[in-house]
Amino acid sequence: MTELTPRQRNWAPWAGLLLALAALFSNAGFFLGLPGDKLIPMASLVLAIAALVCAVVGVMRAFRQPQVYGGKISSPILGVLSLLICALAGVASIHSRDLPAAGAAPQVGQKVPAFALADTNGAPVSLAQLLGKGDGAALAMGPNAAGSPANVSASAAPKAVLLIFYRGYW
Amino acid sequence: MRPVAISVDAPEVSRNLASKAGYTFPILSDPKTETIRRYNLLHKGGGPEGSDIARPAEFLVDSSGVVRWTNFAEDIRIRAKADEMLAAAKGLK
Repeated sequence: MTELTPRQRNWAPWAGLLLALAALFSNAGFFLGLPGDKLIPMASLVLAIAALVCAVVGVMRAFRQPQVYGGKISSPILGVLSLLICALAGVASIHSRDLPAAGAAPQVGQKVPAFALADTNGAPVSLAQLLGKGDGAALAMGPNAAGSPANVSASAAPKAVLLIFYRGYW
Repeated sequence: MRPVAISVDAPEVSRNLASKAGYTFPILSDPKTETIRRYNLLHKGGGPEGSDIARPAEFLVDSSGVVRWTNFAEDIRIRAKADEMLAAAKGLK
């Protein structure tokens, strides 16, 4: 039996794959430091859902309307690939939200606990020193960066200190 | 305003980071998570191979040691912006 009309290209699984890749690589947007990055997780989710819809549409077209659409072999492969990519993006998203609550951490109006920790040269630095209240209040900051002024004189007390706790392992 | 970074990284690791990135602010090392625990910021098993690290957090502390502004990330990908922190610092009298 010959086909009277040429079969249409089954683009849906390919669109699904592209959308799945977009969902995964939208995470790169966090490194751009744009103001709207709080919307990226939602955008990724929308892209992933669209990807899976396209993948399902592609497979259904290939198997339910084989006389119209091709892709009986390619659409399931692309569909599984899209699903795996979306799963990877989903796991990464869940993992990056997996943080302990900070309710017991110092809150606005509370005094922060004192500390003394080693700087990049191994010399202990206390919170009092950072606030400009240590012994002599002189905090000699070492040449952290190559080519930077060797001593940033910090004898003048700063108006405030911004303590930035970060995950490390950079 | 004086920024100060704190993590579990050893001083030499932070020194490498600072020289590569050109950071000139103090980077302090809390490998035993003593200060991180005192601030109730421990992320148990959050680091590579189940090591303990700090959860991300920023505190603007005034000259009397009192917290004036905080930010606790809910998603490690979404951090406080430099302009938010500067605005908070400018808001201090």
